[in-house]
Amino acid sequence: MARSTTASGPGRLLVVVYGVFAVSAGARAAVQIATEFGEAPLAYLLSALAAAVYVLATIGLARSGPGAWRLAVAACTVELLGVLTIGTISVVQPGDFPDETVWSGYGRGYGYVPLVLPVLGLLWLRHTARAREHR
Amino acid sequence: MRDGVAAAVIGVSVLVGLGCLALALADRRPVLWLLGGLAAVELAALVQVLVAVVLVIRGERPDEPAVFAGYAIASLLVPPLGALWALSERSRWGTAAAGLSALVLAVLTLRLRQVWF
Repeated sequence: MARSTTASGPGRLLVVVYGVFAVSAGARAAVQIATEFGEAPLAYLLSALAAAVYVLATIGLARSGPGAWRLAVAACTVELLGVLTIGTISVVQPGDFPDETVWSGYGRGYGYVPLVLPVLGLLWLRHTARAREHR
Repeated sequence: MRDGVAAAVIGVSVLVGLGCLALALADRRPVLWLLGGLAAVELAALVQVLVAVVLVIRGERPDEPAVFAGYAIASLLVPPLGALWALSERSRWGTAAAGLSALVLAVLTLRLRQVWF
């Protein structure tokens, strides 16, 4: 590999999946907030937060440099905490979530990809940091 | 949306997607095959959107029009963006990224079908 950045090698695939989630979660949140915000404001604000996290993670992974790396780590960490917290709340108290968000039921509606993605992202970020140290 | 069209788009996308992933496993990066495969996927997406436009003109309406329109636009952007992203990586992972992009279109097509009915 010529360069060892977060966007090369397996990182290519992570950026594809993160990009898809950034666009689809962002579009979905925008539609929800524009058309039916009053029905479930909390759920829709969480959708918007999740979308923002996916956008930041995509940017952090796709760009190179220590700033981008830290951005990606922060975004993936928030994402992991978010999916675990929202997932648990939505399972324990389903009534709090009148409408599904990306992170409801640990990302059940999206094939559990939202749960697996931050774990893969953080593992990959740790790997690229080590590769950089060993150069 | 017509099930036959959706099934054909998913068929092409999955075929190209799995084909690319197999090539990636074999550590190959045949640029023309990747471009051809994603071009076929783009053509399938284009036909699907045109069919939807014709159906809307004839008076049918998707159940969630805004979401449907968003996914339809995304379905046209995924193959070319995927091709650019895949070709700028000079390793097997570029091939895998092309395959993943094709599989994304299959998922988008499932979602398009869900929000139409």
